[in-house]
Amino acid sequence: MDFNELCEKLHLDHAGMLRRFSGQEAILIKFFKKFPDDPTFLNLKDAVEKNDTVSVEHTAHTLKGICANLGITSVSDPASNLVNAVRAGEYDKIGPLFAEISKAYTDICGFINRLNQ
Amino acid sequence: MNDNINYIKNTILIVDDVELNRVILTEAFKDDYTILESDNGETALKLIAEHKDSIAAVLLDILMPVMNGFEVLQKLNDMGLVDKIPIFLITAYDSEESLISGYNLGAMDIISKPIIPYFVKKRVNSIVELFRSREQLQDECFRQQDMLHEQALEIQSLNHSMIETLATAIEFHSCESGEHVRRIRDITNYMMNTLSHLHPDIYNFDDNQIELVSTAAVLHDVGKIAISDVILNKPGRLTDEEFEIMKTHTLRGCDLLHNIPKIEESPIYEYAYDICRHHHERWDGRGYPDRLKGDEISIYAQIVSIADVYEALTSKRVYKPAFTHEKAFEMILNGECGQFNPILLEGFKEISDKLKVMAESHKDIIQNC
Repeated sequence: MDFNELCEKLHLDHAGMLRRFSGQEAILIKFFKKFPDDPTFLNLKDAVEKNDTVSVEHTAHTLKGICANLGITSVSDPASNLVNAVRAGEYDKIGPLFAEISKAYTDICGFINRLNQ
Repeated sequence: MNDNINYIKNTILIVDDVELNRVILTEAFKDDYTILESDNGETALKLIAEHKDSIAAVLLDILMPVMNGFEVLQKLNDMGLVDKIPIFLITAYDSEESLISGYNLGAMDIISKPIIPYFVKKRVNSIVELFRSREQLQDECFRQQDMLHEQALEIQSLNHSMIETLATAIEFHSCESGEHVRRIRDITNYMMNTLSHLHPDIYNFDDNQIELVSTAAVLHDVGKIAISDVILNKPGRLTDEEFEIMKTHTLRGCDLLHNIPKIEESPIYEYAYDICRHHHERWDGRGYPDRLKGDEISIYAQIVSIADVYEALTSKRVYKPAFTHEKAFEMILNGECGQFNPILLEGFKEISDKLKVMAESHKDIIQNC
């Protein structure tokens, strides 16, 4: 699968992302490939399991930023909701929102791993 | 391609713990600026301290390990750097409260993630441009200030030399050399410094005031221009009538000063006017023209008065030979030339050595003439 196909499958805004990377598609692809190795998701998972709400807010915030930069709204949107829920003290929403993030994240990583070398 | 290279401040510091964010910003600015990167607040502060003269802007993330963006901003604030380097907070942490505290801490602008290079570049570039223009204006201002200061000094020095030339011309008119006015100026200067030193509680003259009064002293006899040569250069005693005319040089001097255009705006004017008018008053009230007594006579006029008497005694005049320093000194101290303020005499004794040196070289000049 090439990058264009990936964008189509994931409904990513290819043109918008390119603008974000000042037209440097190679760098954009490089960061997509690095995405599954980024520890932020695992840090979030860890924080959720430990019920560490401060850490949940922080890592969800970081994940939101990374995914927003890569145009991965299926992760950045629920991550943003998770940040707001923790800030509002609505801790019962942590579980369902994390499940949503987790599913989207797993899907994305699956696609990215199938990208051509 | 790159105008920024020509500026000293052509570096952008990008501070973010997430590599992806740094790369996006680096890509946006690397063609126009030199890029420095840091993944936490603490090293960012070190980089800013090291490169503060070359950094055009700092792009600062808020949530970071070790030291967060607000703490960095606070430190920069404490160091007085937020006015010199524009700081941009780049953040997805967009609660109203945090935006307000960012601005309060001195952030120039707050840019939300996700980063859109086109907008970030526009906003950063226009602020960098603004800071540069402001700095250039400030430099220009300082340059002009220096120039004005230099010109003021030039004008002042020209003023002084014109005053001296005028006074010298008048001394020539009464057959005295230009050295006379210069010695009056020097004695005035010594006396003022000595009185400040001996009685700082009463006479606290600063350097500027001493300079002004010494220059004003040069003009003490400017009214002699209005006195006939016949009286000025008469080789014998003046008749009572002639002496009355001679005495008017004090008031004629004041008239002359008063008629110089714009002189009243000059800080020298009041001293010169006072000195012209009162340098023949005496401590016991037996001087002229106003018969002032004691402290009614300003200390400036008193100083010039004693300087003038000493100068006259040690100079050769058409009606008398030059007395030695010792003789002149004795005559002044024992009251032969009128009464002087005791504090003035105290100061006068103090500068005796300087006066002696001056009188010696004076003698040489006279012998050379």
